[in-house]
Amino acid sequence: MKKAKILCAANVSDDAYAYICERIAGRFGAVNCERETDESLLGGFIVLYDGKIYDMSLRTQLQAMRGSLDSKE
Amino acid sequence: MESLGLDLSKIPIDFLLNILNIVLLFVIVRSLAYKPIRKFMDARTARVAAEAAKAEEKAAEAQKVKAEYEEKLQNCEAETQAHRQAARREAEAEADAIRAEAHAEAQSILDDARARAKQEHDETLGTMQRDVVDLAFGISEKLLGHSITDADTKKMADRLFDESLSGGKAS
Repeated sequence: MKKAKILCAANVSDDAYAYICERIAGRFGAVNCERETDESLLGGFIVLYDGKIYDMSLRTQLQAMRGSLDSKE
Repeated sequence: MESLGLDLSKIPIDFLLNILNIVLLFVIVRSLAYKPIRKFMDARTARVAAEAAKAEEKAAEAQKVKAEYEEKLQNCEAETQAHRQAARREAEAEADAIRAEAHAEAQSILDDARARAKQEHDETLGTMQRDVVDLAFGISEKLLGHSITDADTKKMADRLFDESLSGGKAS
C-alpha cells in the first residue's frame, strides 16, 4: 500500500486530520497516512504522496499573496 | 692853448683845418676801410640771412617733427583706445563664458540633487512598503493562525481534492 505523509499545522484537530485522510483515500485509493505536525504552517496542511507535494498551508498562501504584492510594487 | 677865452680871428682857419682833417680822414678811411667793412657787412648779412634761413628750416623741421609726433600721439591714443576696447570685449566674453559655465555647473548640481532626492524618496517608499507588508503579514499570520477552525481545514481539503485535483474517485 502506498504511503502518504501529511504535515499538519498545530491547530489541525484529529477530526480534521481524519477527514483529510478520507479525502486522500477517496482520491488515490487505499493509502497509509502518516501525520506530522509543523507549526510553521500557521494553518492548513501539506500532503506528500507519490513524489508530489500538495500544499494547502496558510503560510504558502500568505507567501503567494505577498509575492503578488511585491510584484505590483 | 691860450686862455680859455676864444680868439675869434683864428677860428675860421682852425675850423677849416679841422674840417679838412675830417674830410681827409673820411676819404682815407673810406678808401681803406669801406670795402672790407662793406665786405664784412655783406658777409655778416649773408651769414645772418643764412642763419635765419637755417633757423627757419630748423623751425619748419621742428614743426614737422612736432606734427609727426602729434600724429603718432593721436595714433597711439587711438591704438590704446582700440586695445582697451578689445581687452574689454575679451574680458566681457570671458566673463560671459565663466557665467555660462557656472550656470551649467549649478544646473548639473541641481539635477543631480533632484535625482538623488527622488532615488532616496523611492527607496524610502519601497522600504516603507516592504515594512508595511511585513507588518501586515505578521499580523495576518498571527490572527489567521489562531482563528483557523476545523471547518476551514476541511474546506481546504475539499478545495484540494475537488478543484485542484479536478475531483473524482482515485483510480
